[in-house]
Amino acid sequence: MSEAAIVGENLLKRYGNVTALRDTSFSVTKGTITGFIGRNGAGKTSTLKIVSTLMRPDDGVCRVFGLDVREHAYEIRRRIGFLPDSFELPWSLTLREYLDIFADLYDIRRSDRARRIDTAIQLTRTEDLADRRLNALSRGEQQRVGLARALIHNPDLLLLDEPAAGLDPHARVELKELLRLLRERGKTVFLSSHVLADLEEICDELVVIKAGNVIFSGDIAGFRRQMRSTTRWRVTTLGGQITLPGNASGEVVARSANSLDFEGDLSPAERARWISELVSRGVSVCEVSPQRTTLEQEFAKAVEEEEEVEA
Amino acid sequence: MIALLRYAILRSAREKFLFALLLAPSVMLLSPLLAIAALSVAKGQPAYPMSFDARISPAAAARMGGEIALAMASLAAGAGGFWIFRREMANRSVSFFLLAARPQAVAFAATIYGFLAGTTASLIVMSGLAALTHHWPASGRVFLVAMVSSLATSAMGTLLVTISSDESMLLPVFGGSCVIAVSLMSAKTPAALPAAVVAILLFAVSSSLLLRWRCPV
Repeated sequence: MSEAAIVGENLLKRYGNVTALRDTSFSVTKGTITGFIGRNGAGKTSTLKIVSTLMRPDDGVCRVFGLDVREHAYEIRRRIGFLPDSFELPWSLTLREYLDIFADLYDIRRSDRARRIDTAIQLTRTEDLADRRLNALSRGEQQRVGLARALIHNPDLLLLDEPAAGLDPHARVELKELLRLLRERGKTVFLSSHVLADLEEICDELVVIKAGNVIFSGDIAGFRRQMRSTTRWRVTTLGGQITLPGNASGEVVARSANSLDFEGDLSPAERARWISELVSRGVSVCEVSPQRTTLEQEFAKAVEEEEEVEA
Repeated sequence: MIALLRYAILRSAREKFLFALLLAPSVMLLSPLLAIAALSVAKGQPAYPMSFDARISPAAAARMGGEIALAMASLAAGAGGFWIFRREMANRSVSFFLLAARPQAVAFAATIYGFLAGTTASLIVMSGLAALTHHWPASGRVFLVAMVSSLATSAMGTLLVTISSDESMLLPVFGGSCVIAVSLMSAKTPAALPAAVVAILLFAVSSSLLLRWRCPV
């Protein structure tokens, strides 16, 4: 069985009369990139703060690498790197000075510091900023500096709150490359983001939260299964009337002169039969291909379903 | 804690407010003396050693100036303890320190920073006074009291920034620093110093607890 890096059980967090997390449970498997999705105010930042030990839950249990966040905060802090959604940097220091101070704070030996700093700078591609003061940085540069700081002590778990927010497409590609590299090195990454297309591309697992409740925690395929997603099939022809397969269970969702989109479950045998039927009626079939729904569509559907249940 | 002190000194030196803390007492106290000296030179009656007034001897001027200077240095210490991590507290980037170091290390670093700034400021201003009046302005005992006062005001400044990082908190910092400095300087009983040490410990423990509360360990 795969080991959990983070386990949250029945977490509760209140701010005055507002309940940010209610009976929230989830887990993040070690060595994975896990996406954390939810609308604004759903409880993502509160959860990340609890996991990072910066905030205590009012109730429930949260364990990071098996250690309780209440009892072993100091040990956990040494094993995590945290990048909040917004933060400020000391503009009068250079990146190298900034990282050197944090390396010292994390008790990295003087003889190791230069190497660690160089590694963090290379990983985050901040070479051009290394000896520059941290003022007038773009959002992307600021995020990379924050990541370099979060990585300086070589943490086992990286917690990233909206790391892609405000990044240009090139910077987002670089961020994804970095996260993949960290996963290859055995690190666990737990990141929240609203850019679901990016998460779909790099994540192994998902935690979906809505109004303080985790409504899904597991791998992406499991999420799709839970959403009972049916595949959308597109038939493209050179012309001719496209009809549905004989015993089709599903519905036509789009139709044009040369194509038809059908949503339903089709086994390979059923697909083969459908193509034969069309060909036997003189329809020149170019392609029958699955059109996958995006994570964004699945997420919207999940939230809608929850809202319907609540209503 | 050394790393935090290094950060504090480097940042405050680059952003220039360290120099403001170190030189403010000297500027406030020595500028009247220098103005008087400039006037006497203009009148063609230059005088050395200098005094604030012709009716006061340079030795008395040094003594009086010394006590005011040490009180001002305590204010600088309080301001240093309050101001050094004020921005980090306000924008919550103090969390980065708290992820890497224990809360008491952050609180102590701010207190030590303010104390060092206050003590250095008092040495600068006393050296200036000594040079202008040709008399060392404070005895060893007075200087010791001033150091304890700087430590106490700095610890109080640190405590106040953990309560609120609003700039208006400088008012209680200055008010409290004046009370502490004047109480210690004018104390007649030897019990004042141990009482100040107890206050310093209380301030330091309270700031650590407040930081811990904001970011529990």
